[in-house]
Amino acid sequence: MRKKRCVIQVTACILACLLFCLLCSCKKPDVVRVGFSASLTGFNSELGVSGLYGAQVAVDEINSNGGILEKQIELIVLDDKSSPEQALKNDLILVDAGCDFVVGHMTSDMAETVIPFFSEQKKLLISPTMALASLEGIDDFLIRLIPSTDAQASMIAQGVEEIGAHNLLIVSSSYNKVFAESLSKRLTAELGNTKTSVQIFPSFDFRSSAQAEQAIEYIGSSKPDCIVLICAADDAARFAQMMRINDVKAVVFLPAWAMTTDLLQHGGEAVEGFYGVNYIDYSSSAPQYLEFRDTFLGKFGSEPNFASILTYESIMLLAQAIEQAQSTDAVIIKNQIITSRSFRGLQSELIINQFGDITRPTYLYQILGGSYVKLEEGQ
Amino acid sequence: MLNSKKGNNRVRSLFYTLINTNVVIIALIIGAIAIIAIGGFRYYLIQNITAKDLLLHRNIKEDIEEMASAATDILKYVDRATKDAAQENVNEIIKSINQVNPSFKNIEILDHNGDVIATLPEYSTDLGFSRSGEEFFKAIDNGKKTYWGIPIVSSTTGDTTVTISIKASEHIIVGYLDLRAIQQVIQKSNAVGDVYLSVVLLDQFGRYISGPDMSLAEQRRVSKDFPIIRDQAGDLSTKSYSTTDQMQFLYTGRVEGPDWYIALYDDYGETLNVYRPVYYLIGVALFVVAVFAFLGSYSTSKKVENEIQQFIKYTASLSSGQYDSPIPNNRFREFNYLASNMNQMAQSILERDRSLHTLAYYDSLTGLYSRTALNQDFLLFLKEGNEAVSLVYIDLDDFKSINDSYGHSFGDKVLSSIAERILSLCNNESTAFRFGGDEFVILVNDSIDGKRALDFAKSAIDSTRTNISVQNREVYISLSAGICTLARGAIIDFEQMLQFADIALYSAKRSGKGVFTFYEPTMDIQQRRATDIKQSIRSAIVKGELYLCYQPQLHVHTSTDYRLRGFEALLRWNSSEFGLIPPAEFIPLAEETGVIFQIGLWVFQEACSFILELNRNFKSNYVMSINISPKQLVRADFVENVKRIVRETEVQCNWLELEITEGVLLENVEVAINHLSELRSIGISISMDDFGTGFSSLSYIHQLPINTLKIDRSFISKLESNTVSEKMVESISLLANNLGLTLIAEGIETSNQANKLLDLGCYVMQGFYFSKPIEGKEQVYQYIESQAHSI
Repeated sequence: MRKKRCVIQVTACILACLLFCLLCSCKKPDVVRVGFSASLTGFNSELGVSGLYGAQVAVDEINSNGGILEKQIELIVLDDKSSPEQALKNDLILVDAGCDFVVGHMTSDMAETVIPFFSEQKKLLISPTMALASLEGIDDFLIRLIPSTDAQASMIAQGVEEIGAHNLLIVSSSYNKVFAESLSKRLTAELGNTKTSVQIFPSFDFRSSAQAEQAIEYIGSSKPDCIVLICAADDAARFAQMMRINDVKAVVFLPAWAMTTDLLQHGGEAVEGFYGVNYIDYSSSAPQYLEFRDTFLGKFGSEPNFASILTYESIMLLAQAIEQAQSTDAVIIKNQIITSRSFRGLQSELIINQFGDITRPTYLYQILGGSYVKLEEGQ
Repeated sequence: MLNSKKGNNRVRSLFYTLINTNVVIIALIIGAIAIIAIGGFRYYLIQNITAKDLLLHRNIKEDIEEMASAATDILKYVDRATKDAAQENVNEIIKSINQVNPSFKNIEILDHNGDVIATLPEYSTDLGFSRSGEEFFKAIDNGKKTYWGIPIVSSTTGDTTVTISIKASEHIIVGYLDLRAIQQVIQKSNAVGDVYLSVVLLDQFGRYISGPDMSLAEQRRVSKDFPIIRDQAGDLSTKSYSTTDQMQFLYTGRVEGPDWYIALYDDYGETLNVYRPVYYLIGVALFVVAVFAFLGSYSTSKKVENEIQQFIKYTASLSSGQYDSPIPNNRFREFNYLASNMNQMAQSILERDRSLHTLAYYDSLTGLYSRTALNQDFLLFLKEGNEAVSLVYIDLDDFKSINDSYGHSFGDKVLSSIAERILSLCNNESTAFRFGGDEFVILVNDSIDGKRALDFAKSAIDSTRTNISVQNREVYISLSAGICTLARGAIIDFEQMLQFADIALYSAKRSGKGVFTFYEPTMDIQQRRATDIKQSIRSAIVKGELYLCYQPQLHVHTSTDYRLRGFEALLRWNSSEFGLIPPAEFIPLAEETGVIFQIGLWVFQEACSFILELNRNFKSNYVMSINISPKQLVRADFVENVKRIVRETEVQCNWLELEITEGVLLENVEVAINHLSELRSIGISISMDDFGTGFSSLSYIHQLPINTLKIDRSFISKLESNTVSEKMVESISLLANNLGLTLIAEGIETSNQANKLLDLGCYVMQGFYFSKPIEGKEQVYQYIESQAHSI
């Protein structure tokens, strides 16, 4: 009798332990995994790195407030090294790691490769800065926090007209070529009915000094009224330096792509007076924006640029949609974002259409005294 | 049985209690040892790790600071080296310096506007570039002598770098540090190559400058531990911080100069895991110890239980009466003590049992088998090979008087002597038992005619015909025997045989004692009658069944001339159940039951009342002779009762004559003498009845205060034909005459007997010749009147 009781007790203990282990193993994860993929190293990594910083601020802010759906956000970061192939690999990795949402892919040259993947996987891509016009009006699994190149083209065209330029030379980087082509095309269209003639210099590798010198030489010889440099900030700064050295002067317009702190730092005197388009009002006094700016400055020791802000807004938009939908299903969230139609950004209300395309203010800046000075606001 | 409840306390199994207790103790001890051993080992291991880590951390920090200082020195050296150099040579000078100290990816010399005026030759395309937008230029331009920048991507090389810029004599010199070079410094410091150690270098905002994963530095990522590292670093102090995330120790500090944060991670969990085999070894060793301890405990508990089971069996056998199997010694001293004590106890019990058995089985006085032996093992004493068994039941005659006369100690010696004689008569076919008191039983393997029992009884009776000498005193004692012989197959049990032998003994006693009698079935009837009479006699007085007859005693001159002396009161019992019962039958029975005392007093009362009535009526002095039994005489209250009755009846004592027999001498002689003397003193006469038939000695007769001798009828009946009887009567007459005693003869049936007696000098007679006992008072009155007329 006593032996039997001992056996029962021991068996009960073992079963209890097994059950406990089973329950532990079945414990649901208490995180929402969000992927971040961008170029984080080398030239032209400014967008990616500053975007990552913006995402980090957003994630820290959400998690410190209890997370979403009582879960913490886990940001999984991968470097695509400015390679579309690597970007796709990263997306595969992120999806396998449990990410239903990916924020990133800061440049348009990634679009052709990655967007079909997200549509196929029914995972949601939120790109802060992928501005390619051809992505507009498509029902896909892409939400963009940046208007298309058309908006930039319009702003640049407006600026070109205002200075009364008669001939415009578009100089673009072979890196992110689709963006350059898109912008060039739109710009040409915008200026098509104006007195300004548009000339497009063949895209080249701005890192190649020889090719850059050729371009400069051409500029020097053709003497356009203004130049539109479609390239990243580093490339723009370097090109400007070379122009300065070669004493080639021109009015330069830059897309938002180049409008980062790197341009100012690396451009120095060479970029003084350049014009550029941006989607952020650096002089905004919106409390949320100021708070974000102070946090960013304190955290990273540098001013946030548009990539930081748009990436921050991307994360916040995602978090808001999850809270509203009470779901982490990508399809549901996409619909939630689209049906919500509007989102309160750091500086203004942002309108998102049924295709996930956004409308937000556009600003024209000029670099004066080593800083960005807002000139005009467009829509 | 094992786990029953008894009252309020739960009864447990000793074995399982020992096991459970030992298991718990072993588990606690093993657990404590495990905790102490493993915990202690782990503690010292961690202490060792901590000390090593702190030392390493300090060394690395110093190396970084040294590197930073060296980097600054290089830039200063560049300044000195290029100060007076020709412009075309500056780039080469920078290159040569950098080759010797390859910490920098690039070194630039800027003019006061921030334009690059010198650089490494491979980056000469940057000559003239404006660095006025760079933070390092702004910082130096604003007055800093040395500025350490945050990680940036070099616009020249595309690499992530950290700039260090100094205010040179006339220029600004900026170096773009190779982060790999910093990593190498760290790796060199950690030359031991502990794979569980990792060192990270962070800028003042937590961005990686160096670490095991340089991609983090290249991506300018911020360490998630930066808040902890920053908070714990303090003012250039080194503190340890233990995280529970990955069992890591985190040692942080600030690097002077660049104002960086250095953090050393020691994944001591992995380090401890290296020693996991030691834990396993300890665990296995303790487990083995526990198993052996458990087995040992089990074995010991089992041994203890086995020993206790042995004791249980042993005590069970003891309780069932088996004392002859001692517990053997076992391995436990305490149990040996217990076993020894129990064995001694069993031995004591056994010996006591044997003693008790001996005491019960043997009579301590005589050494013969006891009544208990006979009751228990009757059949065992019967030997095979004989067709019948006889039981000889021997009883000493009048043994009580010996005890009363000489004391029980004397009586015991007499019994011992008798027993010796009886035992001497026993052989292989006979076994003697002391049955109790003065009774003996002898079992005899016999023939169906009881020949051996007869011979035995005869021998036994004959053996006592000689006096027994005890303590220089001669005692004469006889024994009576009753014999029962049954065929073996007819024996039911001992009680049956004894009952038959007892009946035969009773018959022998009644036959006169000193004889033996074989049981006959008719004796049953006699015995039963005697029992019934004993029962009825108690109520005979109440029922008025007793009455007195009076036989005249006469002074005889001649056989035809005689005068009434008085009467002898003779008791008669006309039982409503049995009819007339002879006194010779019921008197002994009355004596056996003790009723004789009541009857005796009633007889005395009646006789006194009647003699008083007669003498008053006839104005005579007739004498009433009243028989007194010896037992009655020696009663303590006898004299008092006689005096009371005399007083109550107002009878004159000289009218009374008490007749006693020689049997009184078998009772307490001294008491008898005293009582008789006292009665004589008040005038009552004492007559010795049946003189000559008892076994009294003359010395006792001399002591007794008697007045009269009565010659027994057995002498008278043979007087005419037996010369011996005549001589006896003559002798008795002479004795009486010489002693001045009155002589009375009883049982005269013929005139010749009367005449003879007259010739022999006996002048008082009673008997049928003169008158048979007269029943009824009226008849006595008539007799007296008839006598008066005849005179």
